[in-house]
Amino acid sequence: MSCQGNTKSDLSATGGSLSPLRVTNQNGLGICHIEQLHKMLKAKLPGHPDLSRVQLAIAEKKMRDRELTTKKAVRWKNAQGVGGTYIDAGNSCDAFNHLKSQKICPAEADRFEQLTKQNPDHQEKIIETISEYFDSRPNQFMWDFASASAHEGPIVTKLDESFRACSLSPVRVTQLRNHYLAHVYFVKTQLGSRYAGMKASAENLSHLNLAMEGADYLQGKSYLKHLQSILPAAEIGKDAPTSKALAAQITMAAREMQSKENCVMQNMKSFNNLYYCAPPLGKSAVDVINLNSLGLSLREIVNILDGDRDRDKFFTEAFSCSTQKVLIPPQINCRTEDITQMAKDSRTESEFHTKVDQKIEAKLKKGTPIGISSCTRFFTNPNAKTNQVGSNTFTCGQAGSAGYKKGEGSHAVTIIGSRCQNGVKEYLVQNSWGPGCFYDKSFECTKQGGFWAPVSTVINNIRNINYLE
Amino acid sequence: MLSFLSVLIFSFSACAAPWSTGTYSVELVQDKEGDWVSQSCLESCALDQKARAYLKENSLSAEDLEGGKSPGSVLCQKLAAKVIYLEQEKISDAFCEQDKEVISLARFVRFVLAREH
Repeated sequence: MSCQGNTKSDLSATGGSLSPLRVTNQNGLGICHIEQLHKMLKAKLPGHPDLSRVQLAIAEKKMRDRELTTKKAVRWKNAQGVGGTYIDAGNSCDAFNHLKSQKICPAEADRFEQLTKQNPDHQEKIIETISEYFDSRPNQFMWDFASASAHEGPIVTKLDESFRACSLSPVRVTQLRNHYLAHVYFVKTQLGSRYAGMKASAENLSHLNLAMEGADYLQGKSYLKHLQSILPAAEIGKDAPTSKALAAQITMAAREMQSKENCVMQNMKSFNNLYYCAPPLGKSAVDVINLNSLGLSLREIVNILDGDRDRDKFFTEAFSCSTQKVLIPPQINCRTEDITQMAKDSRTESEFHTKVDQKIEAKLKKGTPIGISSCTRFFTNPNAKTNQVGSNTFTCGQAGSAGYKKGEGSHAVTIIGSRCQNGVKEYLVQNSWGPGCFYDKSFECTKQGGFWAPVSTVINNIRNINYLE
Repeated sequence: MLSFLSVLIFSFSACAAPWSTGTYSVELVQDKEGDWVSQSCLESCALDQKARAYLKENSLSAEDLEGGKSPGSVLCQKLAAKVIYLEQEKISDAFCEQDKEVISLARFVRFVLAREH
């Protein structure tokens, strides 16, 4: 798209609605839409506060889990039914609507964000924990053993990699994977609130008493006595088969624990390894939390891990900055506009670009950043085109489409400025992958992790835009 | 002798700066792309080669990158290395660390994007 003169707007420049702009890096967190919302809120809220992105993500997850049914969650995972070959974690307007009228901590008052600055070992555990909490989304799926493997896919992959790294045989990898799934299934379906006592029993078996053979413990008098104390007599028979199966699995895990699995445990890294860890490893994870004054006992941590409700409570309480929280006012609204539909409704590419640019430019003039759901294909290819004029097909992630790159996907970034450079209009696109410059060589990078790209390139790869008003 | 001199000249051309988090501190230098790395990784090091080797055999899937995760971070985790945040003066960045080798995640993102282009 051509232009004249040397006009330039940059919301992150001194005096702009995003100044000063914090460079962020999502790292292992699938929160691009939250990174986008973080900037949209900063620009819109009085005083331009720098809110905690981590808290926004966790609060949104909690609200989302409460609202979504399984069916909706599957649609969500498939980018709301569009294409189906790429995956979104969410949409910033959906996130905004979940969080509307909530109070959010500023970044400097966020305990997690502060903790991640202190020590590489702590950082890793904290990021892994938040990542697992945010991305695994167990609440969004109905748990049944047959499909647990599919739902647990990323975790299973991670486990398999850990097991292989420790030179376990393929047979053993399968066994351990099944053990994990069985355990997840058991915890999710059998150890609900109705069996609160059994939950405590299972936690003993699965890690606290690993020195003891699981089967001996389960089949011994102490187990029966414990069961009798917490369950009505009629329930004991019902649970017996499951308990025996669990016993066998725990026995298997306990035997292996002494040798190669110590290596596996070290590689699993997430707090969920407490399920399987021998006490020394479990203790180190607990130490991290205690060291950082979160003041939790091992039992409390286990409770957090055992039930998503408790884990929600843990994360919610971790953000206890009650005196400093920022309220998202109810009168602010978020709008999403379907750019792919605009491509369909346009007769020429020029018309399409002009229509979209007018919308974006009007917002920028008001100091409003525009969140875009875009295809990462254009990051390294100025000629990428995932929108087609006359069609509402967004080809991002579709193998076989022109310029397709394996691993590409829909990614939320934010347009925070525009300029006329040598007769070509460009947008300043702000990413959330740190300050690095790894885009096409023709794109000029900023020190804050943004880059200037031609308007036509950007618009050709936008699925939708989101903004607050 | 010549190679020794060239190494010497090159090492002097890179300006080391301390990056830290809490009590952990490490001297990093900037490579030709402007990414901060430990001196041993200026050209190439074990971690760097491990990343290249991984990408030769594997691709990051759409599911790996779900939610717009940084590809550099995902690659680092695939190598069973550690993702860390470090600060230098007021600049903050994320790195991949293993066996005292530290590489800016920007270099890893570049690996992923370049390979799949």
